[in-house]
Amino acid sequence: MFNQKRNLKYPSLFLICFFISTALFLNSCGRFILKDEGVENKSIEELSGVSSAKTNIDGLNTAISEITQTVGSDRLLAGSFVVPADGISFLLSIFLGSNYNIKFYSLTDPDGTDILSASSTPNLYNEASGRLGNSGYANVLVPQSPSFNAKAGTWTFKAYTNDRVNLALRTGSTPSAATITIQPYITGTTWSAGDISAALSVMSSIYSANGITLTINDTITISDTQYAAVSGTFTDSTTSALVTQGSTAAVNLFFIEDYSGSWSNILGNAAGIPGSMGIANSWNGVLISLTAHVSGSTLDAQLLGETAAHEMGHQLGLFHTTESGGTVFDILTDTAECLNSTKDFDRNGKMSAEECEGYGGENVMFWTPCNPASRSAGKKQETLSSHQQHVLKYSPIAK
Amino acid sequence: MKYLFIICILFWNLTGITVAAPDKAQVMELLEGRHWKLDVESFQLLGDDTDKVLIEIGGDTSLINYLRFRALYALSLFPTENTASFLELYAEKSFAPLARRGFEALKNGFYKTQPQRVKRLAARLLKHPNAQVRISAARFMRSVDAPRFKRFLKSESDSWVRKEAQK
Repeated sequence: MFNQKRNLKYPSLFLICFFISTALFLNSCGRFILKDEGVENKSIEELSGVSSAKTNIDGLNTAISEITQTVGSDRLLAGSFVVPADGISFLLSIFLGSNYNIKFYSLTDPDGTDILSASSTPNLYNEASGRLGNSGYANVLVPQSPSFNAKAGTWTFKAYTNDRVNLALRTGSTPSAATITIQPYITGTTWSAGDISAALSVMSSIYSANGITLTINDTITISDTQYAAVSGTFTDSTTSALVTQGSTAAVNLFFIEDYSGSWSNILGNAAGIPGSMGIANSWNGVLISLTAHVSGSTLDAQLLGETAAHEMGHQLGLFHTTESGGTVFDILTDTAECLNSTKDFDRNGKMSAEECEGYGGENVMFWTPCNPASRSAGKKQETLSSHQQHVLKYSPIAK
Repeated sequence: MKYLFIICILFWNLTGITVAAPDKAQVMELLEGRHWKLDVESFQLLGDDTDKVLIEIGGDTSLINYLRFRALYALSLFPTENTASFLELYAEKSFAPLARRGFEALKNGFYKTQPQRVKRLAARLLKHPNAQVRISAARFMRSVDAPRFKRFLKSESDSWVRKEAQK
């Protein structure tokens, strides 16, 4: 009897087990394939190409939305968005968890021009942030020079493996001036908000003289000891935890007491060219070392203000006008270029601000500050070209 | 006599070329830049006595810190006894940001040739009052003396310091 029952039961048990195993196997295969395509954990709804609801940034005509993507036959993720007739600018950003390498493949405007292609004129090939495959974050800003504009119509993009795409889209009337809100933070216990106020005034004057009004919020003190000195790597867990505290409606300047580790020799760094705007994340701000700017026991307010202005310029999409070797320059056509072949008077392969006086050495975005002797003599780096001002005035984080 | 004179002139010139220290301004220019990286080749082209100029810059309390920090870092390219003594002194006696950089430069420049000397300094810095100096010393110790690093983790009271040291 028992044996008979067992004989009857076993085939159905076997079938049940078979179906469960098959289902589990197919499910895991599906997950594997999706993971390979970079769409792991995405629902059918997410893959259907429907955009999510928009969130407006406080006080700005800029809306943040998430764009859904589809997987193409070329295994790339693709999506699209519409820029309305009153579109001013946009920042298209892709993210990937665990900070893996990530980058865009193409961004095609409504006229069919892929602005990331080397064969297009003009193009941002090798210029868009994340062009080499950044860790966890890459973006494209339009306009990053007056040669580009946020044309009305449907833009399409393709990107390598990523978790999500965000669009920060600014609309409104064509800007002739701009106001940008700044949120300063200070870390550590050596310096207080009052110690950086002179530098913030310097930065404000620099931008004001170049047609940009800065609204500087009260400095927020972050006293947790682990943030006193942080890495300049924005994906470092401590740096990420610090920068993620930044405001979504402002350019966040983190005046850190010092850099840690291998970053200990820099004055400041931005999270990208440009960094993130309008979204709380690891790339939503710049770091500026206070300790590096100290002479004796006092902060050099002029230099600190110039560094803050410089890093903010990077965060909003400005490159160095001339790089150190005098052979690489920014993408703007009206910024002075200081050529190694004619201006490296001491033949050391480095273009100093002094050698480049009149050739961009006085620009906020020149690669190096003036030397101490020049600074003592009153030399400053406070100018921005018309095209640099254009990029800032059109920024998605400006109004 | 004429040939002797020519030889003397030549010798004097050659000697002058090999021992001349670079100008301070030349060295300072290589320390400039907002996002500075050590340019090994350019420093080595300046010649052997560059370390003396770097020590002068590193010890100049009237100079802005970023230049002093970078001078210390560049000293790792000139591993003389004079350099080692200077970096040790700064790692133990100066304010914390300079102390940390002094230790880092000593580690970079001398660990291959004088590992025990660097380890001894690191062991002392594990008890430094500044957390970042302790983290720097602990990260080095983790790679060269695992038992000592474990002891540090047990004795370190700040959890975030323990976490940073293990990065």
